Amino acid sequence: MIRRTLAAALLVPLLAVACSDDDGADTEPSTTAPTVTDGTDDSVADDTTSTTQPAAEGMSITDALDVGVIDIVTPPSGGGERPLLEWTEVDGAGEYDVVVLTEDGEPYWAWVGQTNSVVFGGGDPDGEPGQLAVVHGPLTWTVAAFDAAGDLLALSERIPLAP
Amino acid sequence: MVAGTVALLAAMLPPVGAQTATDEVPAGDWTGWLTFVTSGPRNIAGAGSGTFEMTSASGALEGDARWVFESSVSPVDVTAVVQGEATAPELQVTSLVINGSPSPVSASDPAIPLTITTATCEMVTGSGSGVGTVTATGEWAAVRAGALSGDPAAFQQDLTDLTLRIESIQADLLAGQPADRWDLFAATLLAEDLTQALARSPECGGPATARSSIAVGLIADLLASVIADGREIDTQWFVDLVRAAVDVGAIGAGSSGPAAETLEADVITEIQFRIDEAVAGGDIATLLDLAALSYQLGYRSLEEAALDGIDEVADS
Repeated sequence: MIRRTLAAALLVPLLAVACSDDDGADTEPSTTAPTVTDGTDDSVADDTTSTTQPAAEGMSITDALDVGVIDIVTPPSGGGERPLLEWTEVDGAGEYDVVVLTEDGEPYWAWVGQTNSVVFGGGDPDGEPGQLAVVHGPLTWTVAAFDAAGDLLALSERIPLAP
Repeated sequence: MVAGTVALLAAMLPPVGAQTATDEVPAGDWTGWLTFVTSGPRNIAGAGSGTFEMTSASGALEGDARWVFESSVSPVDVTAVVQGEATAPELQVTSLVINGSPSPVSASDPAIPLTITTATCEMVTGSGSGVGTVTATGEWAAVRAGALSGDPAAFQQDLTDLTLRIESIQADLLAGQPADRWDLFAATLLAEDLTQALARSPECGGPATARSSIAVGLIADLLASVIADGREIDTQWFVDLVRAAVDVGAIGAGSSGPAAETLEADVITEIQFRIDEAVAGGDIATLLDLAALSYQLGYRSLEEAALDGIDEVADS
């Protein structure tokens, strides 16, 4: 399935309709039944165990959403258990959201703020971690940028992170 | 008088959750804090906080607790003993002083059950609501003895402040009143400071995946209440709460216990519901937010559903 970009969807819907129906499969409602709607524990595991591939086949998430790509500054390893997560600023961004996943693809730590960096786990960057989250093994992380109105501006790819 | 005392006690008690606990307080010496707020008539509407020390050995608990409840009418000092099995802590009140005057306590009064929400080698937390005839919400937490390096009184005050701030956000949201999103993030920053003040314990080895922020119960309760009663709340707020829940370890790999698994399953169901609603309403902005959230959380099928929804809205 070839995804239509958001820009095309918003700006030229008539053209999009006219040009995209050459393959009937594109216009079929999705038959991908979410495995997560029954609220069971198994469903949680099913939905969080495989996260390394973008959901949009053959297309990155940023292409699928037609948003910018955030470049990551932090190296993938060597920062210890409390590395500085840092990324390039996004024009117009008023908020950045970071989410860290474990090697198994489970959410481990998250942060919301207005700066383009944060020490892993939050808290006082110069203090001991105490009971805060730390880099304890192979992880991945992403950052999203939003404008002041809360509209999504850009996303990063999934970035590996190790101590 | 007995009934009145029981009602007053109920107002002062730390809250009890509805979840069935399967976690337990690991063996060792523990220092704990409890903080709670109550609502209702002016003699029971107020806030309380206190501390306790307990030892877990051979599957049983023993220790001492003390807390103070403040309302517009009177301060009440309460002392109690910690007892019960390591899987089911209890507080048995031993003395009650109202406005400086001792009040009788019967040894036959029922003990107060405490539900465990999360338990790791280094921290045990609990939270809940709905005690007795009044509404009481709050949380308790305990860490291995000696883990707090700072001023205990300041820590206790900050914990009480944190509880009140999150309770205020919860009340505003559920009342349909606008709340400032940055109040939530400020609260999570305070929670990080408090959590960072609790040192790791050498006997627990290296850092484990499972952890518990001092605010895990508060954020879990807030998120659960929004899922249960706040479907009219803006999706941006819901998304914020989900990220806060991951931040404090209320859901995901940083959490522990069946309550966290149930909450994460509820989160997934709610995301799907909001995707369906956004598709029905042709709301691409919301679908973008939910697609980004699902992508970041690693929820692949939800990410796919949101992207499909964007396609579907664009095609319509």
